[in-house]
Amino acid sequence: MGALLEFTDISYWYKQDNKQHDILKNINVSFNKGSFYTITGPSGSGKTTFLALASALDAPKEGTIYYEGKDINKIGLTKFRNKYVSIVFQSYNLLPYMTGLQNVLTAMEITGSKQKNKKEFALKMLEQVGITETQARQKVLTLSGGQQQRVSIARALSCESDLIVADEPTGNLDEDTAAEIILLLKNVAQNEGKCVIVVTHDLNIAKSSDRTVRLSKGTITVIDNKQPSISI
Amino acid sequence: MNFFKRAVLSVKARKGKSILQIFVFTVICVFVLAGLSIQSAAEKSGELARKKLGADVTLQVDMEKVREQQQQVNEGGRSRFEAVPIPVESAEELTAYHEIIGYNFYSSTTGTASGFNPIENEAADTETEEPTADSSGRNMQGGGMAQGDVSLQGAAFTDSISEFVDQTSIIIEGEHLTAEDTGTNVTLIEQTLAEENGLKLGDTITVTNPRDDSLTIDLEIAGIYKTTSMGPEQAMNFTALIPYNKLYVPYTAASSLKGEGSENTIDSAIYYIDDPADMQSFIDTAKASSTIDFEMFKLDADDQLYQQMVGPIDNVAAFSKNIVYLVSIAGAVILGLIVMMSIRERKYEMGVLLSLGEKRWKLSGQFVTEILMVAVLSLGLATVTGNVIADQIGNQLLNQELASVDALNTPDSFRGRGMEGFGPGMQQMQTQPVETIEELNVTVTGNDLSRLSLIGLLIAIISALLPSLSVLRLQPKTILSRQD
Repeated sequence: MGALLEFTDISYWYKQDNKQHDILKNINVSFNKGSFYTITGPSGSGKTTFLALASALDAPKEGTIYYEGKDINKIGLTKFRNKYVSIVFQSYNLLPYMTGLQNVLTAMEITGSKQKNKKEFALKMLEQVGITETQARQKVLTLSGGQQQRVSIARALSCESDLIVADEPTGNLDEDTAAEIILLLKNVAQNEGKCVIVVTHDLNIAKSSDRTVRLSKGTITVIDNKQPSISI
Repeated sequence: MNFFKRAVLSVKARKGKSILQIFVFTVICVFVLAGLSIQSAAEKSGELARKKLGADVTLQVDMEKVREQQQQVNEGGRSRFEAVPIPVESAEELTAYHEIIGYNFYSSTTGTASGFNPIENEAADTETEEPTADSSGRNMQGGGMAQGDVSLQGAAFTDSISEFVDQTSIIIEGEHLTAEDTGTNVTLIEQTLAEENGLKLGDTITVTNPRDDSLTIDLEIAGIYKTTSMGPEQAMNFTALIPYNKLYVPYTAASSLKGEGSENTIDSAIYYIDDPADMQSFIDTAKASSTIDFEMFKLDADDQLYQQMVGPIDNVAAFSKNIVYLVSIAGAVILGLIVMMSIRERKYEMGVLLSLGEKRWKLSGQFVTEILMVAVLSLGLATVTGNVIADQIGNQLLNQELASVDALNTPDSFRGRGMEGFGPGMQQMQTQPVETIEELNVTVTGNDLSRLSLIGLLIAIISALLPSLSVLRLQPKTILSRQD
């Protein structure tokens, strides 16, 4: 089976005071469907940049990212975000003047969901992540942080893309809620055959993932957590 | 959920800001609507005034050109004044023009009364000797120049002569002279003259050319008029200028008394035009296609009354036009700033939507839809309140304008003296008293509303699109990372 997402010779840098600061240097790594990945590394190691590239929020300076063998630049970054990837943010990034249900429906509308009964499907997604219908019809600002993150995950699921990327989704949550959210994402990967990539500082979460991509000084080490002694 | 629905939700969720936008937009719309309505009302009033007043154009000798020509002829010699009459044929050409609703031909002269006594002024009777009379009885005034003792005002129609129009003179017996009397020897005489000489309708009087007593004309009295005119001050010295001694005759009769070379000529012609707007086209057509010699004659336009009457409302219309421009531009800027602040606050929302793959034009579409919803509500409010406000503003502006026009038309010497300073001299004022338009009937019409809607929509679109462009250039990652 071919990789769902593949980074080929990816480099990324920014310039400051005429000096080039390398963030990623010739990265080669691939991600498959049905797996739960974590990206780890110290602060400033390029985790968020890595995720921004994977979700087409930004483009690499060098190299090519392939999605199912197609260059995502050729697909178009906006179209790629619209059709092929769902993003879960640390700060949830829900639209505050809407209810949870409306947030999910908005995402489905934008991504062109083919579901016949969108509302029913949205409620089902919300229920799947533990949000009741009553909670779903509340303005998101009245929900707790954990509930908002669940809505955010339901929104990602409702778009029915095979790739879900999450930037420290448990960063603002308490330990128990964080564990529930990670379990939820893991289930999404394993039960629904999606490729889930999560940026995290938490080593326990990293260990519980199928594979961990460790970033350091612009280079990566991929660890197979099922066989931790093997670095790829 | 498409961007229309998002816009509705957003407007509902941001009640405070939406109400502020509605308030600002309503104020803008009311002012724009007031400006448009005042303009329409002013145009309408101006049009009515034009139709009511009309204008006139006078065909007369161009004295400046005549003087130039005579100076060339008499080079080195003494300048002499020589009257240049207008051929009737030329004057008649213009009466067929479609802009013309009426005309009058004028020819005036003086004559010597034969067989009846003109009215003398009292001073002449008691204090001074009557100007020297020669053996034939002709008055000799001003160094022996024969002047005559009656004046003959020849016209095609006497009812449109200014004294009859302003009712300084009124017919008390008989009828006015018309074009049908042209070529006949009939006259209107003043009541005092008639009474002093025992003259009545149907009687005949004889008038002689003061310079050539072989030229005599018998005039049948067709009407008697009464005048309240004081006449010019010179009437004290010239009997012919006393208003009672004025005989109104067909212009042909006056011309025939002038003697050889004056037949079929007139001194001037006045053409009445229904709409002053047509005045220039009439003059242009006359210059282009008539046989009139414009090296000798000229057409003088007189729309002074119209200008005096509509001057204040024209100024109000011009001012209201400026209001429309100013408020539209200022409104777009103010709204644009409000929307810009609102959009900047909503960068995060835009970043989220862009991260979901929303198209940029749809984000702009959402902002435009939001402001259009505000615009529709504001247009509705402006429509309800606009009529009353426009009426108030319109008449307030007109009153201010009328006050300033009054101040402008009042001579300095009258100021601060109330009406006490007004006496007979008032009649000598150059500015004719005219009924200015003192009230505007400002009504919001469908046309005003259509124009307001168009301007309102333009303001809305510009004020939403321009600010959104600057933010839409940002990348979603930049927006979201700044947010975090």
